[in-house]
Amino acid sequence: MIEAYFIHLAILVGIYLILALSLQLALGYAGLINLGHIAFFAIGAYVSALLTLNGIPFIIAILLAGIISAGFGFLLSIPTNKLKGDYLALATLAFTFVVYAITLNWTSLTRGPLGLPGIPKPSIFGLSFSSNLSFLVLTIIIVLLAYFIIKRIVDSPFGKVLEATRDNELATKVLGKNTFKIKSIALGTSAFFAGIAGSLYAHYITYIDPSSFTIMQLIPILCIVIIGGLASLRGTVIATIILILLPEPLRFIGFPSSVIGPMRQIIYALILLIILLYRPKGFFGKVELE
Amino acid sequence: MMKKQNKIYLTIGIVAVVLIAAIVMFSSPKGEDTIKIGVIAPLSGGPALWGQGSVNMIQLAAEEINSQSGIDGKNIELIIEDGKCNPNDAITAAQKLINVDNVKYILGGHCSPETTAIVPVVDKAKVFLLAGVTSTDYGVSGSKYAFRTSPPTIDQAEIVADVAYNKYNYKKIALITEEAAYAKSFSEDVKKSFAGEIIEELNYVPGEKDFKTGLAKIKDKNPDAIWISPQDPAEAVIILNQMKELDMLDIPLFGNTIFVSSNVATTSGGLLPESAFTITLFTDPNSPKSKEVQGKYQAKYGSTVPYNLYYISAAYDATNMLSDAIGKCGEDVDCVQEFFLGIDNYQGVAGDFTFKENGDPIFDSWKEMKIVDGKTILE
Amino acid sequence: MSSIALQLLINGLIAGAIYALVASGFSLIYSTNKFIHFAHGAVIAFSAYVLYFLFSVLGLNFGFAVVLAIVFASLLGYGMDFFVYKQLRKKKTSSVILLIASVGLLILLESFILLLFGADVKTIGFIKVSKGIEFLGAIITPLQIFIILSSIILLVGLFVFMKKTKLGKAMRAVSDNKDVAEIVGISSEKIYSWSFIIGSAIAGIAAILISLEQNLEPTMGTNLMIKGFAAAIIGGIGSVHGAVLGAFLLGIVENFGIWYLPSGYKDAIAFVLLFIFLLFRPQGILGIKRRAEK
Repeated sequence: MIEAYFIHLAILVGIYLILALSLQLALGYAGLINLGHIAFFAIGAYVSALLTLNGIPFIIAILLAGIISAGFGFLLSIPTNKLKGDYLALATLAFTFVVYAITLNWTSLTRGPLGLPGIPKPSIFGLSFSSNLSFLVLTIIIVLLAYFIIKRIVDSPFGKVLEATRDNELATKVLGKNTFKIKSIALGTSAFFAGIAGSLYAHYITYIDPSSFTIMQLIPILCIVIIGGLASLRGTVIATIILILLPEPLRFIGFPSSVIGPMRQIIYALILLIILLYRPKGFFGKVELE
Repeated sequence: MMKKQNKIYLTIGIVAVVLIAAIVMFSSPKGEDTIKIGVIAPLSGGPALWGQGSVNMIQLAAEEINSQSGIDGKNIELIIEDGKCNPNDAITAAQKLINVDNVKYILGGHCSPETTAIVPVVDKAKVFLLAGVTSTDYGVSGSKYAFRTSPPTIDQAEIVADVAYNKYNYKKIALITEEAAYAKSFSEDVKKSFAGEIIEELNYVPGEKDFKTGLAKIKDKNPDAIWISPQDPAEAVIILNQMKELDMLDIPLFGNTIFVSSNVATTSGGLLPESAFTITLFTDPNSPKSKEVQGKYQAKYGSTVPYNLYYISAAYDATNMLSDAIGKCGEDVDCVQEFFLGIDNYQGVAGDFTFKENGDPIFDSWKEMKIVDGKTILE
Repeated sequence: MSSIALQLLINGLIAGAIYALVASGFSLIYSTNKFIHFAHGAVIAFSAYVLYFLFSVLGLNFGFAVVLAIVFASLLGYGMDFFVYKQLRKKKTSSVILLIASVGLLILLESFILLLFGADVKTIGFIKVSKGIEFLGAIITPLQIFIILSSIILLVGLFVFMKKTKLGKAMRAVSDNKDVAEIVGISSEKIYSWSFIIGSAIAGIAAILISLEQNLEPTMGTNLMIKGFAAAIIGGIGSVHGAVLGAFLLGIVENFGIWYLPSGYKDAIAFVLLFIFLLFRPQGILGIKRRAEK
């Protein structure tokens, strides 16, 4: 039965991977310091949960989760277009808090802190994914899709222009490219996949409440993206696996949990700092931040 | 490039090996002579007040059973995980207990979000769940194998509303609620049941430190009484402090069992008014059984039973009821489930237990509770 | 009815004063170093816990413990600069990397606090809670008056410091134009260090007052920082007096805001305000335009 535990971990890795890859698209390739990524995750989770709890089939719910998150991504890109790095970071951070406040306070929609229990397991055209193994299969399929789509984007001519915008927006504009449109598409796509990840999360844990979507959830993802290396999808994959699985053995060595929790964060923070100090490109990165 | 790649794969390999080794080393093989019971409770943060207390009780009960030759000669082995009152952590804890430790029974969650998240998992895995300190309306009703020792807040709220309106003549009240599962659930139920008028509401986010404006709003409306429903006792203390500063402590107060508790009374330095009442499940602190258990708790842990005598004693009873079931049924979880449905007035320390079909306990004895130097209980 | 308005104003000033204590130190560091030093919140939290440890656990004299805590704060800030930021500056990394590094430091320190002290709320039992002083129908406690006065004194002090002292002028020079300042013979590295020492000392003072008024918990730093930099941006992040102005404004808007809105949205008010400013006037009320936009 140990495989079942591994399957559980694998599903979590998969969900985090989609989050990390989508953040990589925005941060590493487009150079957008999007600290609001968790907000898109939350929007996707709540949209998908509310839709399926009201009878909408899963396949529509997950797609809508992605699309609505993407919509918010586009919306967010409008006011933040002119903002420089630090300010963009703050604006997106503020967005996370506003979304959190809404999930907590708009109780008629989200039930606030009571959360949404009983989210149904996915069922596509009659095929039910209620066992963990089948859910893992579903997750893997979606992860692969996400990876391939994002890879296609970054390898395409659009991807090149995206990176050019990241490196020197002024020059890119001078060359006649509409950098606003480019950044919007990047942020929107990034939000789309975060929304999909949110939907998967909601349907796996089957219960969501606002506490699952705070700024603290962003930290591991941010660490993964930077440690794996900016503008490297492969680095993101490897970093996700390592950073999510690394703290698990701690659980077994019998440390009290009041120690494990902070230890985990300390490990993340130390690795992050060490990478920034000695290897700012991360393990596989092609680029340093600016 | 090749070398770096090899390094990375090596790292992944090492992590995987360490993980597997740890799991293999630290999960005891099947067939050992112990009966493993999983425990999930919040062991960190504000909810640890009752989480740790519940776990302490469970350990106390298990030790007692073991000292009396265990269950059919086998000792109970408790495997304790921290659910952190959080669905994510609770599910991972449950997954680990079920799949790595191979437990067939779990005492947990001890916090509403934990329990809500775990319930779907245990049904699928055919593992028996006995939850504590879980008072939301939907509770454990979604599942066959899940039971709980805490009744839903709606029953409590109805009595609170009734007592407030009829006995104390509070016709216009203000509500202060923490935006967290139990606190909110209770407040919503009070709102539904209260016959009078609710003239002002202050809903605060967990972690809020500044209630002064919200309190001023309430003071301005001049309520007959204020209902205070916190989730974290620390928040209750801050609210009391600021009410004192704003000279509001002459307004009568009543609240949930976290608010009217000895913990808050002490930590606030005695600011909790003696007139503040709550409705609690009644467990007679002076009954011989209760005194005995309280004494044992004090002896083993050096402090009195924390938080609320009912909820913590219930953990003791839960452990004992479960061992009785295991004694009769062994690992047959269906049999355990039937056993629990068949329990008729089990006379525990916390109270007498009988369970409904949906897993909730049937509970009739509610008492009004106030803190006066210790505890007073009326009806 | 107007006594309510006065109470709201007072509540707003108290909240604003707390934000100002946070924002001013942070803003000093930002205007000199040109990056967002998130870990400022951790300096506040850690110093508060040091005070708790020295006074409530070890039982040292309160005044003595206060001084030690402030010194500790300065050293901690200086240490962060020396061991992390300075090394990154040598590599000429961008302000975004420094921002992320500061996030790393924030997490590191908060986790240490969690590890050493646990997650529950701690109180420094120096001041006994009692009914506040009544003043034209509104109530305020002596501690709260002290907090407001402290932040005003701090504001004035910083103003004098920046305008009149040699070090202050040197800081402004580096803040305006580092290269020109260096030509005139000012060592920018020394100025950076000083900004951390002074800014973090202010954080220490903030820590003392805030922990007396609001108690301690491990995440207090993050929460304060978020409001603190929102205040700094609203007021004008390049300027220290801007930060203080923004702080008081934020405190007042929050408190008047939740008079009309459900109080659960209090934090959201701050962020929406922040967002609006970032949209329409990123340089804040007093700031200079060129810094915020590309």
